[in-house]
Amino acid sequence: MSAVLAIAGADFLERVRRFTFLVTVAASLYAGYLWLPDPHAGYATVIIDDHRGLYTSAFMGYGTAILTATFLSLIGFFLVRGAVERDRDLHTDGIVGASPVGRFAFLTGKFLSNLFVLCTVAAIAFAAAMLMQLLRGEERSFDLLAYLAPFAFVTVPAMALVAAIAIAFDVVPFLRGVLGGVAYFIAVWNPMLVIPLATSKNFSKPPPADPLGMYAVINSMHRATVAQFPRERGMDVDIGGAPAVNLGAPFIYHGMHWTFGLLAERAVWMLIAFALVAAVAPLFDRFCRDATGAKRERWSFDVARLIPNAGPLRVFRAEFALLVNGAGWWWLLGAAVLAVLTGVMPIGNVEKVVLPIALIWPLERLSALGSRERRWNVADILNATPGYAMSTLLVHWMAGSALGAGICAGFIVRLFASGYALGALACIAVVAAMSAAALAFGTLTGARRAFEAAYLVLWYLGPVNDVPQVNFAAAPLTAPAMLCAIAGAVAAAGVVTATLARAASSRR
Amino acid sequence: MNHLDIDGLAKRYRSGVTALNGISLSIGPGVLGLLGPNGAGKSTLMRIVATVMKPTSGSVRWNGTDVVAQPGALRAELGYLPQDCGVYPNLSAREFLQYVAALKGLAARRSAQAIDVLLEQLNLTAAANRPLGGFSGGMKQRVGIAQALLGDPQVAIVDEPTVGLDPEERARFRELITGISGERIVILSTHIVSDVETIAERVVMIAAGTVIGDGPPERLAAELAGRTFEGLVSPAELDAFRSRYVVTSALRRRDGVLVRVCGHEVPAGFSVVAPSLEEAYLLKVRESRAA
Repeated sequence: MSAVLAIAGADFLERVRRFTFLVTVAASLYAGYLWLPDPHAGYATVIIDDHRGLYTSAFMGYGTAILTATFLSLIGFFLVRGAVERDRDLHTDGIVGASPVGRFAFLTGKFLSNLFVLCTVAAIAFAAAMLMQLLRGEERSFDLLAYLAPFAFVTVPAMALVAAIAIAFDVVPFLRGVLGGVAYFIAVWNPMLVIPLATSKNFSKPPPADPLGMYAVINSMHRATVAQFPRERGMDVDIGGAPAVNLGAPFIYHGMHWTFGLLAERAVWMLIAFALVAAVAPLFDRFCRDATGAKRERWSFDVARLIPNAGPLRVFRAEFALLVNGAGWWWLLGAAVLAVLTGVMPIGNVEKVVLPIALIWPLERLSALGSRERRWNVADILNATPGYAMSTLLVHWMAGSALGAGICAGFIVRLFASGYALGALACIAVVAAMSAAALAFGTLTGARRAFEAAYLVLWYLGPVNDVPQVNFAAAPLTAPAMLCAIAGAVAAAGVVTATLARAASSRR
Repeated sequence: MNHLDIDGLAKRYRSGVTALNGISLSIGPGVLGLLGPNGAGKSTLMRIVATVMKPTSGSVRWNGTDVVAQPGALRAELGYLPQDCGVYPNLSAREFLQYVAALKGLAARRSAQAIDVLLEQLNLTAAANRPLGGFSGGMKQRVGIAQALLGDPQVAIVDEPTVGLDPEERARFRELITGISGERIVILSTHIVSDVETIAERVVMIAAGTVIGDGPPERLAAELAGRTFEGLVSPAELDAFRSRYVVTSALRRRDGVLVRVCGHEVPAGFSVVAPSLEEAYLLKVRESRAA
């Protein structure tokens, strides 16, 4: 047991002492501030039957539980994943491998560390909510229990589940990379959030499963609203931030009555989290390299050879090779197929299906931009070479843009050929913005996960769910001029940010 | 008495590279120095013995127990410094050692005292509470050594332990290893001959995954008796000399270059000198390459 706690403690301290954790803390405070807006701010984050909640301790506490269940369950996954892989990156794997500590004990330690990190971030959001109650001043009476109960019974089990899933994704080989991030987003987070609410038939019956505790809290708020405003039909719940226009009087919420059944249900999710860690423990290689040793050289095609190795193109060719080499044959084949399909499929299908896939396909390669020098510990070597100037960042960006544009090549050529040059330019601007944003995130954070998480959310909202403001797959056809302007600005901001961050890091 | 038996150990990677080619060694208490050029298979051998890599074939037995099948038997009594040992940059040296102590299953009170002693022995006490990320390469290496020796292990496997250490720290490390041996087994790999010739009771030379020399350092050196010569040549003659003889050292002086060579015949004007372990090593590696 002491080994488990020591692993958890060391890993936790290692993570919370990083600068990026400070950024996370600041973001949590800001999220808490935005989530509980001024009553006259013009928007509300929890609206039930055209009523927002009065800012009582219970509403603030349970409202923050909703915030952590919805957003921290997504962002938190990307924040904590890689706990096992980090030992390989830091070369402490040999020490662990040669020690007597067992698979389950090691993974449990890492799981607890994940849980501590997530609960720390959540606790900061709850502390921000307490502060906001005092600042907003709608209800002066303060009830600490109304904050502690949702934290303990809603947030902690939900975060335990996220922490355990992150461990499972670290241990299962094919889920370690970007594919794991996409899989979590689409196949785990989205169902955990949507299914409980979708299957509850507008709160008329409990859902079959409520892992994040969302249904229980919203249902409780809903019943409180209906009790206070009985004339309302009680069918409309809006979570996340909607205009606060023509709202009725605020409902007064006093919190949930935690029955044994409810507590047992939340405890079951904690147990499921532990069970998941135990289930994946046999798959953990314990940093032991098996008898097969190094990977067999796999089939690959050096795409960079298509670029002339002469003059100013030499650096570009090398950067392009760094981006593409190492990708599996399946990735290259997929990229080639997408490049063709975007040019030959009916335009409606391209916009709705093929282009969204083409815009997520390069994520695995582009997310390495800006961070790989630190990851592979070659930053000092590169900085000492005469050719490695700030302008090299521009070449990184151009190589990333070229890769993105190559995957959408069919679509771009098709638009040019049909005289729709502005649409083609807009598509190029989108991949240029994506490449620049990856470069900026990578240079700032030294890791690839921040960009992966941010881009996944944007991609899910826009190209997948067709939220018009961010659907950058449809905009080349519907609003190319505006897309050119916005994507161009994002690209410029990304390159400038990366340049400033690189300059700052080289001065340290 | 503790005993480690390595029998027919082979390691072949999927890429086709053979790292170990049927190595057999019987190791008792004391310091064993593993000498070999880069890529000889030293680190592969140490990883397998340290239970962090599995062999393609062969066995490693710790006091009779097969540790390939039952690694736990050795891990409980093992201290291991990997070649590329890392640290958590945001922990202090003391916190990191406390973490490793817990991994090794050491009791908190016992490990606290042991950590203090090791920090002192490795000259890290003043920096013990600073984040490891700010340590120099040599200091990190000393933390790596400390974690390997933590808990008084019966088997200490240290891979290239003196990399990055200054001469003073290397001397301190040699004293430390000499002090902890006795009934323990210490396996120390290096390609710096002076690191092992003063502290190892036994030296095993490896090249291309095969043992090419095994014995006490003085005996290995003595195998070369009568085949090591020293003499003065002009700087202009040196290149031609290198092509005909195995030159083990060349020291520039005012009156020419003082050259030591190994071979079967005495070059004209040269005299026979006492061979060193380094010369024995260089000659064996050359001969193994030629073979």
